[in-house]
Amino acid sequence: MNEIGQIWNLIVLEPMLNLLILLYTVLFSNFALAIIGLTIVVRVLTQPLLGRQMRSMKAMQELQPQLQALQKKYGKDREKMAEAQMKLYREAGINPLGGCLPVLVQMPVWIALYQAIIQVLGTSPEQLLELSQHIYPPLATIAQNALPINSQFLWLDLGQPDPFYVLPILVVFVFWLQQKMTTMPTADPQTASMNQSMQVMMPIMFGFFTLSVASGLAIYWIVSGVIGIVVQYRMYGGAGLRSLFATTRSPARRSNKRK
Amino acid sequence: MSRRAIAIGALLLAAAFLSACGGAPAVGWSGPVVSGDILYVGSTGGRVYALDVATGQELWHYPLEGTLTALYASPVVGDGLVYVATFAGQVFALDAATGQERWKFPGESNIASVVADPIYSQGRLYFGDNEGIVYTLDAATGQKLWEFTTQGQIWSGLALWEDTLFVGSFDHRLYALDAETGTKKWEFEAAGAITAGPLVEESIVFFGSMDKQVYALDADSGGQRWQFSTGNWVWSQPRFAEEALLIASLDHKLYALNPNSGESIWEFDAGGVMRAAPALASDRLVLGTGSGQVRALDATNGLPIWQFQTEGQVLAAPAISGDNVFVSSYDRKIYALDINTGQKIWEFETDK
Repeated sequence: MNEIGQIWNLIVLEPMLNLLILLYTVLFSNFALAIIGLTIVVRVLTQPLLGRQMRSMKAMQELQPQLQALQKKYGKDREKMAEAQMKLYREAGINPLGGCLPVLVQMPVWIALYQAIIQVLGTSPEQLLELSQHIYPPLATIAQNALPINSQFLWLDLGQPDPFYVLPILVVFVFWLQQKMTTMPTADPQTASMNQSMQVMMPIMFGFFTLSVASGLAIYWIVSGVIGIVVQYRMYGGAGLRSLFATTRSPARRSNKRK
Repeated sequence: MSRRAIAIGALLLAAAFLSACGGAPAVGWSGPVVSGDILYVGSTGGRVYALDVATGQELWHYPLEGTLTALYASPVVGDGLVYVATFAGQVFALDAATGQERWKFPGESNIASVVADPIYSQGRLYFGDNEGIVYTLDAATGQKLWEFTTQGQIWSGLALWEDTLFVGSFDHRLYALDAETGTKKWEFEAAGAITAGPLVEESIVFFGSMDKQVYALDADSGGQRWQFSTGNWVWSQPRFAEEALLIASLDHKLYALNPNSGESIWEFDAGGVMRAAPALASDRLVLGTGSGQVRALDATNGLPIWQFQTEGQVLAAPAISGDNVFVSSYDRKIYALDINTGQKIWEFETDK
């Protein structure tokens, strides 16, 4: 277990932690700017995976007319419907679970980022002591003026949750907006209903988590979400945003209503 | 289950994990102090214990219920009282014999966290806090006599020499203050934050910094005599032994320097971080490491004599009394070891 921890530190945590310190040193000793800079770097590095996820989603969206036709054809025969759906995905070269990979890849990134933020901030003496063992020697010399990190940014202590609940509200809004823009229309009423509850539940859950995590991580979530929204906008044009102001009815619902 | 549900489930799992792990908590590395036949020590569980030096029997602990949160500063004894400064920002004066609370500062409220050891001298208690304020209290009553504000946190211990109080701050400066009034006499700016307590010997003030340097200044004027480079931050207070200045660095090495020139005499790789200064007894020194080892060296040449392994980090300075050395470890135990052999004499488990 200890070896796994050492490998994790060597490959994931230490590069991220040192990059964060370097960004802090370069970006006017402002830790919020350093986190924003790191978010952009992480986003650029994970963009190939995220792009794949978005392309996969787009392809799924393009299959919607065919999926609706299958829905009409098989009605309540879920087994045959699923079989036909899988065949359609196969023919279109789509892996229905392929979109999970980018999310799964982001998980260790989040965990490492969180560890890096907490450790770099050195909010407890033990953390600052631990930090001394993870800084690359050349960087320790470059950053000697900047350390220990100043965790204050506006009203925030970036190592602590936001006492005025501004960040949790922003996290909820950004996640909700992103969800609305990325949720695919679906022919399956059950999936459509689940999507709708996810659109509400997920932002609320993340807002709830933001109440207890370091503000620095909340800033990462917000900035990462905003970048996601911008990328989404660039890929799909204004359609995603326009859909926000349209009714929330799914194609499935609309088709049901027409019946 | 759709891929979207799986993805969201994974995200929520990650977020739940993150919200659960709020970073390494402040535990505290308060070290042992011996006064007469009693050993005083702050535990990693946030209590102060008084133990019989000979047997390790508990005489009292404070508080009787609950804890004081994390304790980094070692207890200080003076005029029949034990002074304890907490990370929660309170300073307590306890009866050294019974553990009864005599006063607390600042009353029912708090100041910022106190990390470094206070010092007691001639009825006064001096300490610094996390907001960069140096306080001087009347040690008998807890009344504030004066305060001085620096521009950074104070995690460094203080040193008193004649009528001058020396304190280092995260603002990179070492301040020399008039101990009577708190008026600044001079200041010296290092390249990094100062977490190491200073030591004054023969009119020279020695201290280390997060710029990896050890500095020697003229105690009267603040003029620099020399500086010495180590491989990492210096967090421990220097010590004097056998005409050598000993300084432990977070590069795992203990350096013995010529106090007049700063030239290296010998160095010893301890195999782990040394946050605290070694304890000294005649020609022997004892140090603790972050890898849980207690090591005894020959103070004249740095050659190892014995070592003792604990189950937790040893981040506080050991204390020596007679032939015994006392060590506090993150395994929640206090150890009494034979200074000549390293054999365990007794151990006491805190916070049971």
